[in-house]
Amino acid sequence: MATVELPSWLADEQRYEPTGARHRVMQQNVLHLASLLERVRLGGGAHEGGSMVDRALSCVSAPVRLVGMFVCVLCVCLTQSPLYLMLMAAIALVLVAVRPVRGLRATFVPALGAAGLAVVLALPALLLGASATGAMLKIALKTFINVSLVLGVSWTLTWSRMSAALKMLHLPDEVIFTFDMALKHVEVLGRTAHNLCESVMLRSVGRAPEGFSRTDSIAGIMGMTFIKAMECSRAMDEAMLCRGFAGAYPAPARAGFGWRDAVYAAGVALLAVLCAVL
Amino acid sequence: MHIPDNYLSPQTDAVMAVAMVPVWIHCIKKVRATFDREHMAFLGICAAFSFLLMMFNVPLPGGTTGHAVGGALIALLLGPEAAAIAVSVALALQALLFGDGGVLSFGANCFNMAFVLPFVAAIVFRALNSRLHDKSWGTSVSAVVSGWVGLCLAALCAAIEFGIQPMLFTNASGAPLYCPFPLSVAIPAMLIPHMLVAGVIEGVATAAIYGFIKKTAPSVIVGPEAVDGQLTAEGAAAKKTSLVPTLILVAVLVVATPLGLLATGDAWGEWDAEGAATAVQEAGDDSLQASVGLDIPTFADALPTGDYLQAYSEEQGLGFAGQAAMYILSGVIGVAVLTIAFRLISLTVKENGAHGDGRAA
Amino acid sequence: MQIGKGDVLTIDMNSAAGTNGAGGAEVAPLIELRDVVFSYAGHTVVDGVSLQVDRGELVALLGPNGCGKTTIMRLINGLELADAGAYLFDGHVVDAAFLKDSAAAQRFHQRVGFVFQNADAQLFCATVGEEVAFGPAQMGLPADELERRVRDAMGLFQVADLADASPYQLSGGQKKRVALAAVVSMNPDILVLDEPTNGLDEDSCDIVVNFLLAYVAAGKTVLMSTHHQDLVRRLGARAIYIDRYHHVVEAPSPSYGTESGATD
Repeated sequence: MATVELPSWLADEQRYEPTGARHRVMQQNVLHLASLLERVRLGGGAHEGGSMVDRALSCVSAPVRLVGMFVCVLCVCLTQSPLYLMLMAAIALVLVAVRPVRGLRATFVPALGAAGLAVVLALPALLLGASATGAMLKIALKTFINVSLVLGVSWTLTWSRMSAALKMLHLPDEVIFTFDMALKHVEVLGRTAHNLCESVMLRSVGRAPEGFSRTDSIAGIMGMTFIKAMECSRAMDEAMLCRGFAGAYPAPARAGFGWRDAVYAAGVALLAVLCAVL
Repeated sequence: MHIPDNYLSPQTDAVMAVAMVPVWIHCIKKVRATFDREHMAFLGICAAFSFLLMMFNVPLPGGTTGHAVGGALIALLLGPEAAAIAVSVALALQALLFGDGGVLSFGANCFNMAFVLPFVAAIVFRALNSRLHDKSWGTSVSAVVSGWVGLCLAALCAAIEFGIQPMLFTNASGAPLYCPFPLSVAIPAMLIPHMLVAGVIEGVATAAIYGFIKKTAPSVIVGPEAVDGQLTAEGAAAKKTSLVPTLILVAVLVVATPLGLLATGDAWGEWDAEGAATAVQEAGDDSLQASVGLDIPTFADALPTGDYLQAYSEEQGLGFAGQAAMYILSGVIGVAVLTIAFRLISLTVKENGAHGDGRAA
Repeated sequence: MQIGKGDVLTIDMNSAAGTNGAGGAEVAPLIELRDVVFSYAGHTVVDGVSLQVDRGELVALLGPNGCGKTTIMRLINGLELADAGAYLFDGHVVDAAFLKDSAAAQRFHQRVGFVFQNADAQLFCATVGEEVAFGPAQMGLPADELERRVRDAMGLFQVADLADASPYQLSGGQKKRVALAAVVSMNPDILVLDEPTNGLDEDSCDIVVNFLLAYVAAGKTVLMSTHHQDLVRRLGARAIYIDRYHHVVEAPSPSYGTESGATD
């Protein structure tokens, strides 16, 4: 076995006093990606014990729920009736309120953020007159309702069921396959990017040297992620070819329309009718 | 840049979604034709990449940070068609799973970020890079400018979408139903921050990541300038095809704008009825109030009140015709503006193309 | 001196110092985990683990897949923070407050060099040369010293001829060696290696093993995870077994040794 001679600097203990330059962006990215990976891993959270309403809703088949969500969102967008808005707001808030803390945070906080933006926009709208501000405030309320409805669905519907749902909605197979691939690879590539960020963070032990800006490390991370994406896609194509892929993506058989779906659909239909009437 | 629901009217959303359909079809066909095998896995994985890119905080030299859309980058790496599909799927994921950007306004968001941004960026990049490729900084500058122009134009489109709302969709009393900001406000409000910050982020991110990949693994780049700067006859052909979706889109917009109006004609009517209901409630008509609900505090409280009831029947006829006319006119104006913009760009491209061809020959 | 759940720590520390002869009892171990618990998404991945690594030791973590080896390494790097228990690095508690002080955090990251299991996920520069220079270039070294370090580090792992290559073009073994060189060039006090020989051919493996032997001989510290018993023997490493229930098990235990070895 050959013996290795260590260079003198490596044998000594390193004396180094860092200046403490901050690397906030990278830390933000690490945290952001970690929370994304957490979301993706959970793929919706209903199986972790959602509220009773959520569990009841998860019994409804996924495509029916997607359509129902779309109808509700559309109704909220279309309606000008304050009564109807209050009704929908009540439904949305109740759904959010009964969720466990985790689900509450996942659905309420982003909805509040989106509504907050609209409220902020209502201030400059004052210059255009009270009616403009009124419109913006209405948008804020509607946005809150819609975002919390959409997030409620994404939180209670596991993502694999969601892509299965798209299959049953008569979307072209290619579209579904692309969507599916994207969902799966968000995790794969997200993990790569997360590791790269951590690696940059661990080795960012001081001031960025001349000619190597923070933007460059981001470019490196996203660049390597892209290269990884291309490798993944080649491997996937080849694997599919090896397993006899002939260019068609068969969608699975359609599930039946059960009584739970009927109840849910009736509820949504009632809301739609109310929207038209009010 | 992600337009949430409720800022745009459902009619606008529908028109934008219809406008995107031929773009998507064209792009899928083009991607399939460009790559030797069925590359659907490739598109999905690109979409995942695009999704991640949108989540990523990009630091600017100088301390600001922000998120890039990444449409320009993918357009340069893999061609605008692949970018359109990838960004569309990424936007769908964001809308459905993260509530980021609306479900209804998905078509509008796709139009701005998945169509305008990558195609404009690709066109600008080709035009600039064919001139500048022999300079050491040529590719970077082209990439920065393409990202910047692409994002700013996308923001302009979003601003126009916002700005036409108060012209088209108001209730009987003239109060806006959706985004209340007129074009004169929406355009500067959207454009200035996008020109100063978001566009710069997009441009810098595009240039930095494109530069890294070009240096590290040039073989994975299959975009417009796979072998950059060599604008051969093939390159010129590619340029021509890339304008096809633009033309299709313009045609679709011209057709779809009045179509959208016709299709939503009923909704339009209901609309005014709803407006009337609000107005009636304000005016204090008992018969209607019973059905609407008396004690509910209304948004209409915030609106200027008046006796609409009498004027309403007269205004309805006029109002509808006027609104319809406005809708068509602004559609035509929007299409015209877009056409002018695209033609101006394609004019530059042609000149540059001739220039590039001359150099190549 | 490897301790299961619930042992009395003071006694352990003394015995640790005694067994190793690394110094008096007052010298804090370089790495010390005390009853560390870490859960991820409702699953306890690290369940009351206590362990110590002293200066100059070569310690190998063994155990079945999913037993928490990687998580322990991430805890030691400050990439995760313990839910309960304490982690002390060179006598200092490493927690959120410690890592908030960016100068302390940078010094900490410089002293603990981490090589990921997947080298792919660690290389983010356009060329191998830049990659190896990334860390030391931030430490304010004079230009000639920096150049020497980069050259030496690449030489140690025999990747000097790849200096201008892009990491994308390298083989798996080369990537791993570049990742090692990139960390070693910062001259950390301890190398934390997650499965350093995983997927390496015999030549690459020899390069890594010979380096580690020389490195430890020079008084440096190494903590690594591995599935390979023969590697542990070859390096003469102190082995710590983690069973499938995320508990640290006293080593060397022949029964556990064979069981763990057989698992993988």
